[in-house]
Amino acid sequence: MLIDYLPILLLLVFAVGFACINLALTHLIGPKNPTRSKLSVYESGVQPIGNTRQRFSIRFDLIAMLFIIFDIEVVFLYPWAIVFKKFTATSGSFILIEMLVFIGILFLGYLYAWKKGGLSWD
Amino acid sequence: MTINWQLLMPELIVICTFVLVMILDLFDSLQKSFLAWLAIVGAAIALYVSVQMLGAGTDETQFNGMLRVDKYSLFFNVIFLVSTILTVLISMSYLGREDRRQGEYYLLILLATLGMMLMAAGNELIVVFLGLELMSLSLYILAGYFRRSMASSEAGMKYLLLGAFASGFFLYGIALIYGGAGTTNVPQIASALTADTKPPLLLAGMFLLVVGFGFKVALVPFHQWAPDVYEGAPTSIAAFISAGPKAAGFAAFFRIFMEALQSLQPEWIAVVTILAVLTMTVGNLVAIAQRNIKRMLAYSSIAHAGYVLIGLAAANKDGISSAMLYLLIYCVMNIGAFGAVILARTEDGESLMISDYAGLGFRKPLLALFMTVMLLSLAGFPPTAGFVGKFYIFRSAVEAGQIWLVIIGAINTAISAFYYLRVVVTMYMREPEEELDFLTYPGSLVFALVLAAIGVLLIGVLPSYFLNPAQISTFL
Repeated sequence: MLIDYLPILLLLVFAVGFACINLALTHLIGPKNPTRSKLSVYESGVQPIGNTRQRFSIRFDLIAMLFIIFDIEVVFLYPWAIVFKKFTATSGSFILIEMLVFIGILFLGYLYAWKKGGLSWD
Repeated sequence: MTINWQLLMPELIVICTFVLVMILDLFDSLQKSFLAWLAIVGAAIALYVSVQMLGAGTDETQFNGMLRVDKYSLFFNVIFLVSTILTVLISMSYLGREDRRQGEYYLLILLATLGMMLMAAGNELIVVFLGLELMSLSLYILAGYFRRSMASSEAGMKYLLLGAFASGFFLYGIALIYGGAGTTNVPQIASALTADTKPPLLLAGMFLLVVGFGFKVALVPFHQWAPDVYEGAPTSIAAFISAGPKAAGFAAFFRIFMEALQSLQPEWIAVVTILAVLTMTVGNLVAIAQRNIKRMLAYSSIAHAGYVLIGLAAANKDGISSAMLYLLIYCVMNIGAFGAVILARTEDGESLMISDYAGLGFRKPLLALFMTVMLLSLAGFPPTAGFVGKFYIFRSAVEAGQIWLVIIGAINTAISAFYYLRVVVTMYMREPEEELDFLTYPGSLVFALVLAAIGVLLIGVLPSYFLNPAQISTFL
C-alpha cells in the first residue's frame, strides 16, 4: 500500500535535489562581481528609499481584516447562487432566508465596525 | 434534509443573545451592565432549555451526522452555561462601570460558549475543530483584554502563539486519522477500525490529537502557557479559561477517544495514564512553590486536569460519568475561588500575593468564608463537592483495576491540601503586615459567590442528584 506513494517520494526527492544542487552549483562555480547597484535592494526597479523595518499604523491591518471578511462573504455568495437554482422548487425560500440571515449578521458586523470607529482614519 | 430546529435550541438561544448584545452595544447611552444582565438571561434560558432536553433524553444527530445532540452534549452544555453565567457575574464589578469597551467582552464570552457547545456536540472531527477555534480565538482576545497592561497583552500573545501551535497539532492529527480511517465522522471511524489492523498513520494521528487536547486542557508537559496566561489575563477570564474551555476540551477528548478510537484503547490508556500521573504530580508540586494566588490556582487547575484524566484512564462508563460530574463541580468551585480573589481587591488594585491575605478572616469574614469553602472543596474535604468528585473518579479507576493510579491520585490530594490550607491558615492565623483598604462588596459578585458556595455544598451533601444525570448521560 505504501509502495503506491513511491512516485510521490521520488518526485519530492527530485524536486528538492534539483533545487539544492542548482543553488549549490551557481554558488560554487558562478562568477562573482558585486557592484553597488547589484547589492541594492530590489524594489521593482525603483531606487530604494530608507529601511523597510518601519512602524506603520495598525489601521492597515484592521482595514485589511475587514476587507477579507466582507470579500469572503461575497465569494461565499457565488457557489450559493449557482446551487440555488437547483433547489428553487423544493426548498428555495428556506435557502434564501438562510442566506439573508447570513448577510444580515455580517451587515450587523459591518455596522458594529463602523460605529466602533473601525473604519475611521485618524 | 429537514432541520430539527428544536434540537439546536440551546445553541440558537446563545447566538440570538450574541446578536442582541451586539446590536445593543452600539448604543452608547445604554448602561453596559445591562448587556451583562442580558448575556446572563440568555445563558440562563439556554441552560433551562438544555436541562429540559436532558430530562427528555434527547439523542439525535443533525446535519448529516455532523452534530450529535445527546444527553452527553446537553450535560456539558449545562457545565458551559453555568460557567458562563458565573463568569459574567464575577466580571461585572471587576471591569467597572466606566469601562466603555465591555460590550465586546460579553460578546466574546458568548461566542466562546457557542464554540464549547459545538465541541461537545461535535460528531465529526472537523466540527470539533471548528468549535475549538471559535472558542480559542475568543479566548485569545479575552486574555489580552486589558490592552494597556503589559501582563495582559503578554498573556494574550502567549496564549495565541501556543494555542495556534496546538491547533496545528490537532488539525494534523485529524488529517492523519482521515488518512488511516478514510473518514472524519466519529461513528464511521469507529466502524472503520473494527478490524484487527492498527495502521501506524492512525496511531500517529491519535498521538497528535493527545498533544492538541493536552495543550488546550493544560496537561503536563503541554502546560507551560497556563501559569503565565492565568496570571496576566483578567482574573475573571482566568476563571473562565480554567472552567468552561477545559470542560469543552475534555468533552471532545472523551467522545473522540472513547467512541472513535475505541479499538486503540490499549495504546491510549497507556499514554493517558502517564499523562495523568505527570499532570497531577507536577501541578501539585509546583503549586506549593507559588507565592501569587493566581499562579497557585493555575497550577492547581493543571493538577485537577490530571484527576479528570484518571476518569479517562479508567476507560469505562463510570470513569466518564464521574469525570463529567467532576468537571461540573470543578467549574463551580474554581470560578468561585477566582471570584473570591476578585472580591479581595483593594484600593491599589488586586491583592494577589498569598501574604496579602493575612488576617482576612477577622477583617473580612464573609470574603474569608467564601475563600475557605472554595479552597476546601478544591482540596477535596468531605462536606464539599470536591470530595464527592474525587471519590467517584477514584472509585471508577479502582473498578477498572488502575489501583496504582488511584494511590498516586490520593497522595497528590494530600499534597494539594498543603497549599490550599496554607491560604486558609494565612487568612485566619496570621496578623496582617499592613492595613489594606478593601473595596466594598459588589452585589453581583457576592451573588455569584453565594451561588457557587450553595452549588459546592449542595453537590457535596446530595451527590446522587448530580451523579445520576451524569451516569445516564454518557454516550457509552
